[in-house]
Amino acid sequence: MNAEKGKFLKAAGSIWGQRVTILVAVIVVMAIVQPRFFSSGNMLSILLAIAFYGVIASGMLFVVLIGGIDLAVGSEAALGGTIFTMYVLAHDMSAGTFFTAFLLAILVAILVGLLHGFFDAYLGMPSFVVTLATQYALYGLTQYITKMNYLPVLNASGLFYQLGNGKLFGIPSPVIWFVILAVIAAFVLKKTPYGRRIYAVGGNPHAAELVGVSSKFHKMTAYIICAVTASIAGMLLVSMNMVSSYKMAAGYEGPVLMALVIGAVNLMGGEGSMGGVFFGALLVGIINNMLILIGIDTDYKEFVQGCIIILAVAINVYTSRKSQGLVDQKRRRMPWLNRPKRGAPDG
Amino acid sequence: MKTKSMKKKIFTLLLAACMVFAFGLSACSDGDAGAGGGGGGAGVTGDFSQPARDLSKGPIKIAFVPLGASGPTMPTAMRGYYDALGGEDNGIFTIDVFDSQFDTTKQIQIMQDLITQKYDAIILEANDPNAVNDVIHDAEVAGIPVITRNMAATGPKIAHGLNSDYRAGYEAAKYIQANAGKADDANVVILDVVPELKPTTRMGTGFEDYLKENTSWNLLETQPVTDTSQENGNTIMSTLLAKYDDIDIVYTVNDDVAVGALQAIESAGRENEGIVIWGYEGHPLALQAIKEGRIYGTSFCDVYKQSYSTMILIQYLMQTGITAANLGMEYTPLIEYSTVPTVQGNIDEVLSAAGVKLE
Amino acid sequence: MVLKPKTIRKLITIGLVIAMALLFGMSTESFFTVRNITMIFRDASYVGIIALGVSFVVIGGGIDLSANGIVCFVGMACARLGVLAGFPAPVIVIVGLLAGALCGYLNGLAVTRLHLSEFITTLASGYIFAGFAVFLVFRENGNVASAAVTNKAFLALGGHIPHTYIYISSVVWVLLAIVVYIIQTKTKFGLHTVALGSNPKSTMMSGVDIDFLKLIGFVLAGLFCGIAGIFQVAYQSASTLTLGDSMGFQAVAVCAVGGVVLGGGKGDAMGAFLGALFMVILLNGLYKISPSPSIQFIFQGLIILVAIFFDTWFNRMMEKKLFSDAVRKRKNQTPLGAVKAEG
Repeated sequence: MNAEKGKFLKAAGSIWGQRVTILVAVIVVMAIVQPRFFSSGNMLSILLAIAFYGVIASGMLFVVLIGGIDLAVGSEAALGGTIFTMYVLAHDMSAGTFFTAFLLAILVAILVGLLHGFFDAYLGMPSFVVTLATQYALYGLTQYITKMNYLPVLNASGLFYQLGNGKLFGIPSPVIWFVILAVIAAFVLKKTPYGRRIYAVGGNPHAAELVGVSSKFHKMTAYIICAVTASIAGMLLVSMNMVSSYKMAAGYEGPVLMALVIGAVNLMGGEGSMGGVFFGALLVGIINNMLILIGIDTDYKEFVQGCIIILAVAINVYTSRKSQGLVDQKRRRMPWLNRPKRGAPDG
Repeated sequence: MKTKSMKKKIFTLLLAACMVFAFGLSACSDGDAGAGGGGGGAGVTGDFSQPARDLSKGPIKIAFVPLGASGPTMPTAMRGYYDALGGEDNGIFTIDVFDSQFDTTKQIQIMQDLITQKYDAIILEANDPNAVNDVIHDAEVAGIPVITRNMAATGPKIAHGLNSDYRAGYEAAKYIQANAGKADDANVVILDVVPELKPTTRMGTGFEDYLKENTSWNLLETQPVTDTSQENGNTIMSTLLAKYDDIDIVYTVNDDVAVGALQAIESAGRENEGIVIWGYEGHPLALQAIKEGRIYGTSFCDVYKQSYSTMILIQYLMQTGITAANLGMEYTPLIEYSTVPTVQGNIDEVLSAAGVKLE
Repeated sequence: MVLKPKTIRKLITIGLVIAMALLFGMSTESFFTVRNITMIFRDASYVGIIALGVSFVVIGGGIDLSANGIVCFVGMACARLGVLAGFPAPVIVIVGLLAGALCGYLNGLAVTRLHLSEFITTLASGYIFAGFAVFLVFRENGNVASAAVTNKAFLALGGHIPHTYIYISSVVWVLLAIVVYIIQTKTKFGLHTVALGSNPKSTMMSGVDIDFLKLIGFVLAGLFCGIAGIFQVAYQSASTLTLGDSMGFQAVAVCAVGGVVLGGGKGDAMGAFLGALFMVILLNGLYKISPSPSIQFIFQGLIILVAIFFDTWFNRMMEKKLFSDAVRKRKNQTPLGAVKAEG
């Protein structure tokens, strides 16, 4: 009896228990305040709103896990989407063109990822500033190749149209892409040796090297994965909008990082899971949606958003510390104990 | 331990106090050396005995400082400017674009730099109606005519403002009231710009003002659309559709957002309710949708003609050397380009008059 | 004479700044003019003052991305008071400074008391502080509007020193840089911050109250953002909700370019100072060399990459050298002086 009760409490205190609690709390609040929250149209609008961030976040997770950060995802998306659009515009709407354009954009993304990986893994440059710099450079490049033009696709049809506007069982294509990529990322991170090594490299690169895990290889591939997902997000975006401009996806790195952090991903590396990221993205989407449904004065939207994010992260930190029995201790004496265990993916 | 940390605290406090004191002192110093603004006053100070510039001899550099150098109207604007100067390879004039990236501080830095580089004329989309007044005055004192475009500065010292945004929203509401055949208690949502941009981008305000003054429409809500991007317009509109059963009019401050709203309405399966969507500016996708009858209308800006005539005016100003500063002008002469309400019925006419071809 | 690694590091940054200035100076006429130089120092002073404050946090191993929000909030608070006729300017300044310090204090509390990570705290609090500004913003019929600051004495802060070309903000920036440099290198507080950045655990073990250090770091960052905000509003004579946009990331980038490396323990105020100068000269020169925004963007990115490359390369080389020195010392048992003479 006692053991069972303990088990239940443990489950409630665990990270997933806590996430479910937050979601249930939100849903209860919404049920009281605005029952329309539960309409299928609204659910789809939440999912569609987070799909683009989510696609990028599933790749960004790899980079953050190996201890890096990629602030250039917005410009990578813009570059990918622009190359894709330009190629299709220069040719036709046939399936062949579509696949060539798609592969071309992915190829460019791989090059960008290689570059980032090279700077981080081989030259040891801090990824925060490197990607901030490449963000400028890639936006510049996108502007340069489009000659600052706005590229509308007026006769979109075929696969180009379906990529962003297609529907499966009434679910928009970007959402499906997000789910597929999230499942793949979760599988790779959890079930494959490669994924485990990513955690190892992020947790302690030197120790990983000593047991024969090449941190360079894993860093390179993580940046490549991130750039590729960003590029896919860019292509989904142009296909949905049927227009490409160099400033599209600007500032996407902020919401993506928010989703990661709310999903309990440690930005220092080695900690976090795709499930957490999915939850984080969902919560960000629900918050934005709630703010409109409840009718918060729109001028204060960002303010409320910031407060809720701090609150969500604070609850997260508090419960994880409590589960480690740190809350009542004299914290000032032993702050290093506050760090959660490394290496083990949660969930 | 305790005393040491106390010492540290006292030290820090002292330091902070010193800084505060120093600042207080410097703030108290006399206020004559303002940032260049302030002065001015009436009275002609310029020398108009001969032409200020000979436009037949180059190089003459003209700067264009838009809010952001992206957007669909940019190439059209550049085409308009160059056509007024005799093409891109005219051999005398060059037009350089400086992207202020929606950042007031950056815009001021750019303006200062243009004065240093002695540009011959500046076309500006003011990022804030008040913050750029001083630097515009500086430029005009230096003999550089500044024309503000779309987004005007309030200051009495500018030479010319060309402004169309508030009126566009106002006229759009008027047009919809007269022609769309909506009930007197129609439900309206406005998809506006983010609060940061509201002082300069005022279509939403114009629409709202007309709505309050002259109609009995019911304004459900005003939502800001980040970056006025299509995807954000889409998600916000689909949330609003879930929230309200009955929406009659959607006013958007940008055609991108209008197309996003249209996509949301179509994917919610409510395109048959006859929701009126109105946009601003005239982007290709929106124009096509108007032609097909999916978007009701837009406030079409003839960017080409605006740019063309702006450049003609600049040639005149450069030759005469007239600026508001050396004429002692205390007001801003306005050249107002009205936007054209464009709907399915008149779109072909409007587009052919503007020389815009779809596809 | 033997140069310390730190000195060499600084000489590299100074060299980069001078090389770039010479490059731009030779390729354009208007670069080396009094007007342009004072403009560079004025523009650099805004981001530079913020970077000085942020350097406390970064050296201590943290990161502060909330500068955009703080500058926005402080700017709006000052503008709000600045439109009141006859309001004493020193009070405006003090309110601005206090508002900045308060924001920094809130950041510090969230980090030290709630144990949130610096990155996410400051990223989110940037939104929150910008939200404070929305509470204060000028409105016409409920819509956000803009208003001009009219307080002459306050506006004077944004202008020149009387009878010179030098801007007050530039002078304050230089003075602050000196003060901060002294604090960071000569006082116990500064040394403890460096220790905190290099090894928080052992700093803790040696009896330093690291939470207090972090808190003070954030308060100083907030205070300096406040100073920058005051100068920016005084210069623009109006405040907008976009004031300080992108300053958060930019300040950290400026620090990194100047050798105040993320992760902590390296660099000092001089690095932050030079970093700001570097970035502003870069942009100023690029406006003159190439008017095309796309080329400006590309070069901005590439040149920052080069600067970071030099920094990393140098740090690595120094680490290697220290390591090999230590090995050699072990082997030969040579006295310290001999090694010094060699290297």
